[in-house]
Amino acid sequence: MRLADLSTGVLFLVFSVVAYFYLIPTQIVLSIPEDHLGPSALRPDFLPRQTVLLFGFLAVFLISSAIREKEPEDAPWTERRRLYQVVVVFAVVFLYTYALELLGFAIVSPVFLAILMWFMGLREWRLIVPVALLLPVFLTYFFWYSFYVILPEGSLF
Amino acid sequence: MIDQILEGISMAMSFKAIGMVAIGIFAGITVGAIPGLTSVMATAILVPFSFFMSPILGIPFLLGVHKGSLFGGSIPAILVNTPGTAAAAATCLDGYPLAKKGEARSAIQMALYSSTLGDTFSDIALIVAALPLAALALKFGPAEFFALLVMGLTIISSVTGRSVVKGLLSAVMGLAIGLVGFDAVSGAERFHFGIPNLEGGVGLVPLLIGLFAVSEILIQSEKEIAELARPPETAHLHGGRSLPRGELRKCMRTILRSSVIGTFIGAIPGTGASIATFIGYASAKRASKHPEEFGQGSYEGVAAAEAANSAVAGADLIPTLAFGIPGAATAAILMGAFIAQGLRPGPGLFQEHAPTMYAIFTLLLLGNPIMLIEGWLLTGMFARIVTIRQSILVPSILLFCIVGAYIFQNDLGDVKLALIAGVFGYLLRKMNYPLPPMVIAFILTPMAERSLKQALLLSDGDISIFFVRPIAAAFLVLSAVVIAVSVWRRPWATAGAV
Repeated sequence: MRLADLSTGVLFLVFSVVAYFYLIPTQIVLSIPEDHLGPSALRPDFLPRQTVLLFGFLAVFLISSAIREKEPEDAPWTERRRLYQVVVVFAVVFLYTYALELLGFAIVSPVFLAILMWFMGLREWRLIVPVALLLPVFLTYFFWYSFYVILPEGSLF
Repeated sequence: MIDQILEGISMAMSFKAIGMVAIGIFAGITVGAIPGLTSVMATAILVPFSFFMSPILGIPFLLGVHKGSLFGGSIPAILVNTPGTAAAAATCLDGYPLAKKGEARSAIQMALYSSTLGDTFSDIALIVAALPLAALALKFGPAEFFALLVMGLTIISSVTGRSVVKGLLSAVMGLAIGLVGFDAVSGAERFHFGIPNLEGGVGLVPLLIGLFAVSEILIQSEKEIAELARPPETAHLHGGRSLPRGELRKCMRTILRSSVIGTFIGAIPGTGASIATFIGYASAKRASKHPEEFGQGSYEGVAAAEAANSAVAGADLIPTLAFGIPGAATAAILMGAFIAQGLRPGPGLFQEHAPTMYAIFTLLLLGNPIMLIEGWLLTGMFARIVTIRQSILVPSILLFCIVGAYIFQNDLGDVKLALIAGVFGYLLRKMNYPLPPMVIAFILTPMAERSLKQALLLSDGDISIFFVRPIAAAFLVLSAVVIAVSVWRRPWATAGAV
């Protein structure tokens, strides 16, 4: 049995049921009266319904195959430490996007670059400082002079 | 038609257009030379840049990136035994032993010549094949076209990755993401959950950058910290002599064979450069008078692998431009760029935008000698890129991803969307779901829905129209056969396979 596939199969199946009975009826907003829509195959929910049915069918296939499978599975994450590194990198990027809204690209980007380079094991400040400072400056001027695009300036400024 | 070709050639012959191809190739070789960064990722990050240019500048720029990255991947393969792209994996087998013998420079030059020749062959095949195939596809009605899209998607999902079920699930997820936004026929709003960034549908650029670039960055972040911070081993960088002419002459037959193989494989949806390179390499070894030299530092081995993988660059655009069905991830990204520029790939493309397409073809061909010149002159510089530490590259590329997603619509909402897509792509890749079927299905959804509804309008909502029209029925039967054969031929092609 392959646990990872089994659990994703179950997750997909649950999603299919939720999508078919809840999302499709509630998240499609008609722009014309219902009686003008014509045969059911032409309605805006036709393709979504077929897609969800196909997704559910494939999820069932995934579950049954995962149960029948005898070969051992490859664990998606062999070491917890590696997952931790990914989570930290993503958390830094996520915080960076929020900081961008407030403080702007020119201020936040050098800090962001320096933190990530440091986290990835670089300890030489003679490399960290120039890269962290020059790359954002280069991008700011490149986009302005090439495409007249202003990178986020921050709502506080 | 001659007038249109001449008009296209004159449009292409501008300093700006040729310069953009050169810049694209330079960017492609640079990214290709960085171990772990793929051609798909490079193209995805650079797509938004092309939106600021006209089609004559933007599309050739991206095609240059694609070309350049396929050759660029051979540089780290030869120098540090780490392929820059998956397509260059076979190049390591002989390239690295050559570098160890002190012949790094001549090995890179052999890779450059073979890549350029393979690429040129495949560009010519694209130009010769795309037009007649598109003319044939013009005769299709909506039912046939919908069935063709289903068949293309089925082939891609069945042959990409190691599990048919996961390939198909990936495609269905792409279809579902493509349904967000407006229904093309009735104008109904679907699944935007009140989020402004989703009202017009999921943006192509944030999705591409997230799935292909951010997910790759997250995968790179898993490496040992010491490995990220350590400069790569550079002992073989300073490799001696230039390639003797006789060596290239000896390999010409191999280059031609690999070019044919790469072009043929590249034209089949769902395959790609990484498959072509190993088949080209194996065929060259079988046909060689000195098969024992393969794996020990054979120029023929480098030539076979590089000609085959670069011959995919033009060929994978054949189904994209003729039918509007991208055969691989990079082709899907390029198709997105074509659509964003107002050029919808498919049967009508050569009718509606003939001069522009001839200009793009001209620039595609001109890109080959440009790549030769850049590769020849800047080998040393590209070789230096291999030595840059991952701890500097990964954060810098992440910054490019964020900026790329932002400049799409000058909206930080797109950056957040790219990050969400990145995590989604990362999780799927960890679970061995192939991403190309998802992106291809996403791009094809509006076209498929339009064709489906046009066909159903013609038949008053009767779905039997797809089974009574012989060509449409044949395509659908073929789709079923492809799935059945894929499952039958690959015992591991079940859900559990990884």
